[in-house]
Amino acid sequence: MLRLSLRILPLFAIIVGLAMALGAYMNFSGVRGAHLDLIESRMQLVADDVGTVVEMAVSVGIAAPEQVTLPGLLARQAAADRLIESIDLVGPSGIVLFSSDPARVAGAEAADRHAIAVVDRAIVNDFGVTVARVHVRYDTRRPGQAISGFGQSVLTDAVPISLGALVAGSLAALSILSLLHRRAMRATQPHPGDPLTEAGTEIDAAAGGGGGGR
Amino acid sequence: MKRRTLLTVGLTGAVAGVMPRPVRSQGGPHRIYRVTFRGRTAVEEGFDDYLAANGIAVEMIDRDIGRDRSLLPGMVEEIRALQPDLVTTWGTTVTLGIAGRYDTGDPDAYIRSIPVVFALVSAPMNSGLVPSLEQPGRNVTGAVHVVPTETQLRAMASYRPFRRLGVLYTPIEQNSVSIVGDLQALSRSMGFELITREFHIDPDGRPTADGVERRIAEIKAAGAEWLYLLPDTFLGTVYDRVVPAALAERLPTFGAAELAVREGGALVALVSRYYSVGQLAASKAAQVLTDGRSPATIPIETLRRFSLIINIDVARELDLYPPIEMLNYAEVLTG
Amino acid sequence: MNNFQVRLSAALVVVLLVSLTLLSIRTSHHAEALVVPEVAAKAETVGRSVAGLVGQALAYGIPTDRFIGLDDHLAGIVAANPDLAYIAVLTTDGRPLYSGGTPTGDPGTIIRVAPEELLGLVIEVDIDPAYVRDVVYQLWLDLAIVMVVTALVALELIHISFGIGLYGAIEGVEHRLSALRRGDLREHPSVSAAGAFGQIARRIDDRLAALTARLRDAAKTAAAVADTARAQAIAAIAERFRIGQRVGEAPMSVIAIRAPLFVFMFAEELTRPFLPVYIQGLAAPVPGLSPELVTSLPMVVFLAIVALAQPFLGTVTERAGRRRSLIMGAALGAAGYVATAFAFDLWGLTIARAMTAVGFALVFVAAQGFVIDTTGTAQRAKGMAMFIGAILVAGLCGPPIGGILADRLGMSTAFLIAGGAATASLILARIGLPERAGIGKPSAMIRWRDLGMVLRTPHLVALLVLCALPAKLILVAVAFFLVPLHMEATGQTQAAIGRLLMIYPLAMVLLVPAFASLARGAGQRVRLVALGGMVAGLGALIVLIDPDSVMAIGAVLLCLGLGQAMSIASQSALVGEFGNDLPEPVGEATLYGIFRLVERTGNALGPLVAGTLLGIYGFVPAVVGIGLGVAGGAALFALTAALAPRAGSTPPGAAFEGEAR
Repeated sequence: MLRLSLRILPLFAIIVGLAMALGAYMNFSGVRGAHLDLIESRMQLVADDVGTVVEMAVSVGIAAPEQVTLPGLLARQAAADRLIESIDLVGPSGIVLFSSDPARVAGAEAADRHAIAVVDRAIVNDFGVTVARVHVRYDTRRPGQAISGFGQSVLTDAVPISLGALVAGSLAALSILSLLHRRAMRATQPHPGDPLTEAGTEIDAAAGGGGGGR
Repeated sequence: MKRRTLLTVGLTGAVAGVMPRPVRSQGGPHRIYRVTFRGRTAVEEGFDDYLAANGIAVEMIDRDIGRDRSLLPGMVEEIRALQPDLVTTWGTTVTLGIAGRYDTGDPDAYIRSIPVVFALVSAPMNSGLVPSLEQPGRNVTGAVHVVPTETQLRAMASYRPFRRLGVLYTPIEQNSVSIVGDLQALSRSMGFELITREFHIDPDGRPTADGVERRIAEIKAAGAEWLYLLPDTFLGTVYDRVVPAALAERLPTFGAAELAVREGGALVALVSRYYSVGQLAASKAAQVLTDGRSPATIPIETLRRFSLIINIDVARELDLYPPIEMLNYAEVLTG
Repeated sequence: MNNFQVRLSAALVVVLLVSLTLLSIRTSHHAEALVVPEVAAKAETVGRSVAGLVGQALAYGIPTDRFIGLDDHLAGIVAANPDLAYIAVLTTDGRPLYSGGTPTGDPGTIIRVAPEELLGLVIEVDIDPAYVRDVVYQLWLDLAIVMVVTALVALELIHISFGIGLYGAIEGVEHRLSALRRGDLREHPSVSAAGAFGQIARRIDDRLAALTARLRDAAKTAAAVADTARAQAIAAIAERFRIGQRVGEAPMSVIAIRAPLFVFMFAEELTRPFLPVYIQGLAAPVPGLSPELVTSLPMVVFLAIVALAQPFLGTVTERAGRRRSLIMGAALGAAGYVATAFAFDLWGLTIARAMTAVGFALVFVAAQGFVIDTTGTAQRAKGMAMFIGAILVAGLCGPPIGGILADRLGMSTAFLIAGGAATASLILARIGLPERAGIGKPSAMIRWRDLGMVLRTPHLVALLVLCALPAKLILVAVAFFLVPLHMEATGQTQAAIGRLLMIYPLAMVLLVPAFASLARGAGQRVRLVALGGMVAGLGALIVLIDPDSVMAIGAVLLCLGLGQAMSIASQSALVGEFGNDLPEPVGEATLYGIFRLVERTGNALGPLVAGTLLGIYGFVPAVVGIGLGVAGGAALFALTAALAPRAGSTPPGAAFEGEAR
């Protein structure tokens, strides 16, 4: 029995473990998706609002007031949301035309390190050509950390539950096997109610008795 | 008054999709001969800014006729003598005077081979400039500033829906007659009633502003909810009579030209910005100069998107404020 | 299923369900803590955005009672953002001037924004508490699906994890024990496995052998002394206890097919929620055909190939060997899925699907053939039940997982994963399936003559054309074509579509056994077939209530499943019964082959009919039309059965051999 258990139980344990891992991952993934979607939609809102203003400016041409307020507008919007790194107005060649972060203006838009995500909104001029893009760059480290924290909590809960499942499952499997084993062992020996013994007795009776029925 | 800022240069440079860099096809800058109607306007600003942003070096020969048509033949001569790479013109009168109709006319009196790029010709086909907009088929192409009538009416309706529309026009202006025809058709399809009145024509066959106030009172009495200030040349000169009359009758006015709302006092207008029209014309000029395309194959186009201009002071007077969402995309004139 | 399997499976399901439930409770607790602050942050951003607009109006000097259309604007924002319940512009004393939505009245959900440029006005944004609840509920739902799916997948994996030898030994012991319990003392096929259970089996066998020997001796002795009475008594004992007889069943090595079959079917089922949508994305207009019809073409090609290939592949797989054919089919299928993932136009996609179809047909027929090969007539029903069970479980697990994969990783990647599953099936077949020939009889090809005869038998035709064909037609048309396209068009996620597609196989799994046991007697069967068709067909009318509601569509699919569950066993049995009416007897295999061919034709017609109707009339009329057609056919069938009763015939004991899909 021991050898048999040693063969079966690890497999059972693996199955339960995999199932729990899959369930925990899907839990985590679902919540993470909802969380990131919320953040992205909020950033897109900011990008769209800024884009509307810029498109107006483009359409008007270059009326002086608009020019003056654009950096101010970008700075205000960026300051209002702590996740936003910067809001840039980028030309198609990649040069930053305006930005809430003055240091970025007139530089090329370099590739960001991983923790920055970008939400984009195209600025289209009066004859249908995209003349610039609004980029809202936001920090994904903070949400990333929050999500990791969440992931940790899920893991912290998942491990003991999984272990419990493993143990319970293995015990269940073991007991089912033992039950079967015990019943089977009984059948290898004569025991009360054993049909083999009954049949044997009857054969003996039939054989042992003399002729005919008595 | 050159207002080239980083924004402008960057944004207009974007149209060509390239970083500004000098482009020289043959030794020396391109020579453009420009003829304007009434001096330098936003069209020229847009035109020049586009070329600068795209690094197209240009030697501009500027000429202005100061509303005097008789100067045009002399310019044709000068063009022949100077042989510029391209000619650019402002408005129907100037363009017809330089390039002539496609179907008639003495070839020697007009420029037939040098590329001509126009801005602000409202009806290139009707005025006989070109047989077709998609394929002009001759040395003329350009940018049209006219906003389709239906688009105007939709903008009007989104400001405030209407069942009856009034219009006052010059019956001898072919363009206006044609637009009124459009309005008749749209009145059926869009479901409104059109109330028309014509300007008084004096015995010499010229329109005058006599009786304007009475006509507008009639329009208002007939139940009009808007007065459409169509792109009528004569109307464009008498805004100072028409609009106050409408205001007195508490009739909202919708203009088809920037002038109407900026200086004329109309409530709202849907226009092509002259600046953008200039840019569009310049983009066509660029195609001729740097890509070497013939104007015959460059389609004549309008802008894709037009600008809504609202005069908030008039709105206050009429107590007819715009839907608040419009503030997102309309230019609002204050003060 | 024997006791051991049942107990083990039940234990596994219970353990997983309980653990995953506990995990979900904990997760949702943490989720709320994580997500709610973000909802609040977004609400604040919305508030600032609205404040910008209002501020702009104020800057232009527009009086506060003249913000035209602001109510509608705010209502529009609330409608577009399910996480918001209410937005309002309030005066300094808190009175709402303009608003959209309905206030929650719960201070915990209220966000206020009051920048300077608003000159004292305040923007209030209320978070919809139901939103967070909905997110968690969605999670619950997803998790419930995951629980069921992982439990089922784990069940399937258990079947391969034990290894034939060990499993055979356990099963052998189980058989022996149950036989002994019944007082059945026949000898069993020997168990060769080593290990504890093998030993036990052999010890039981020894006891049985010893007993048999004793009986033989006793019989010999009685014969030697010519004591007839004693000999008779001994013979009677032998008879009663069946001593000396052998149990004719080989161990169920048929089980070996379950894993590769399940995994391959799982691959195809993965694609169900998003296949029509994927096709639509690649479809280019074909002159003369509506775009919806064009979208249906690759599916029709797939189903038609499967339908037409099946009759031939029986002998093909037999000659080539079931194992080799299955491996070949799995390889073709895998290649087909990968090709589908990389397809860039409709024709490439159709070719890829055609490849997959050939693979699918090969796997199906080879697997079916394997079952037939390795089971004798007595075991056949159990074998087929296991075969169908694997397909049904795959149909249950595949769609929701596929939907989730498509949402998270994209449809192309999901196809690649399907290819991976098909490859896994290939590997499982390689390591698990024996190559040796079996004990079953070879399957017959369907000859034109047989088909012609069948088509001239009125009752059989009525059954096949009015019931069997429409039943499959409506399944593929509605569940696999119209519903995924419509739900995608109304903005549902693939995961939601996948969840919904579970309803049909779930209904089938749960209800088929119940209705199968009710299907006794010809009259009862006809009633069940007709009733089932009508339930499935009329159920489609539910879509009229609210075509965009997920509940309504779920109800339609439920009725589909219910109807089919009611009728499938009876249909299958009636095929056998009505087959007796044929002028010349046609082999049972051929008869059921024709039945399945008709069913598959219904499958193939499904997307065609659906695509046509969808293009011309739209979703609701298409569903209703097909539903009414099916119900009408069923009613017509009942009518023909009532008006033209067959001459009474004894119902044959046809084994339940029809598919359950």
